[in-house]
Amino acid sequence: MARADASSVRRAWDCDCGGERLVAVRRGSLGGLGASVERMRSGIARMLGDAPTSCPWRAYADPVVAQALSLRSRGKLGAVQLDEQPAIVVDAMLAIDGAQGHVEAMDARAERDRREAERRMAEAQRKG
Amino acid sequence: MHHESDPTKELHISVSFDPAIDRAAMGRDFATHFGRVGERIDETRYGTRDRSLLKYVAGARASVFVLRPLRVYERAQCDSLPTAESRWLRALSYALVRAEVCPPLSWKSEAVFPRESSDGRPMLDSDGLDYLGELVSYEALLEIGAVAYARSRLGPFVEGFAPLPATSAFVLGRQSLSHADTHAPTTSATSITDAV
Repeated sequence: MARADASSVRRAWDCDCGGERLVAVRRGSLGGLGASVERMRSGIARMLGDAPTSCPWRAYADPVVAQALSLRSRGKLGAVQLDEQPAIVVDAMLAIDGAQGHVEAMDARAERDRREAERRMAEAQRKG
Repeated sequence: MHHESDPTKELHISVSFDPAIDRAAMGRDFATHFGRVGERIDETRYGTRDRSLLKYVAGARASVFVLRPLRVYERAQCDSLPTAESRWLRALSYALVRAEVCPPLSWKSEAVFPRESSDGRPMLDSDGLDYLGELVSYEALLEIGAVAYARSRLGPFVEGFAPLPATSAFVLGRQSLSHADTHAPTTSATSITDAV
């Protein structure tokens, strides 16, 4: 993505990351980009219960998120005693796991519905 | 940002009612720093606890409490307790790294450290809590403990500050004291009775 595009995306997310404060930008004011960001934001809120307050990239700069991702990758190696970890980091890791599981389940359901629709369509064509 | 910058690190905090803190000079920063304290402020969060926002009364020094994040098993111990106050005090006993108390909040200057418990980890035991409470007041322990507990949760400072449940032992105790004060005879009434 070109640099100008990245800036537009940040503006569309109403986010002040990237070292500049992008204030007083109305959501959706960037035409197609703003509208698509708004769809993503409301989609995330619908799926996970919370609308993001910043752009997705900013979340990686959050120290709790960074430690939760690190703990998650170490946990997959079986090298972590969870009881000894900071409670907030473990909560965040479980939230990330839950969110990923939820999204994967929704994706799987959408894929199943799509295949079912294709199967019915193919069946209808055969009969027709 | 409406919460502290990094709840995975140690946090240095002061008590909202420390006389060394110049609430008037802080203005709106007071609510930003402490969240909702003692009165209805629109800010419904605990506040940033950003020390750069603090302003002090000239010549005064605020007491400082250093808290570390609670571990999973420590928070589970807190969660198993029945009342908000007991959870906060237990959180404080786990999370306190040191307290540097001084006048005017405390009646003397002292650094308080937790003792090592049987499992080798430093923990403020009940004697330590009592001693610290004598120095800085029970309310201060509750406020610091509430922060220690709340910052162990995601969205750490999202609850109103120290809104004790109306049925909590502390609130009921305070109410009964208040009622006792109301019904107690005043010195002037006594003197009138004596005169009659």
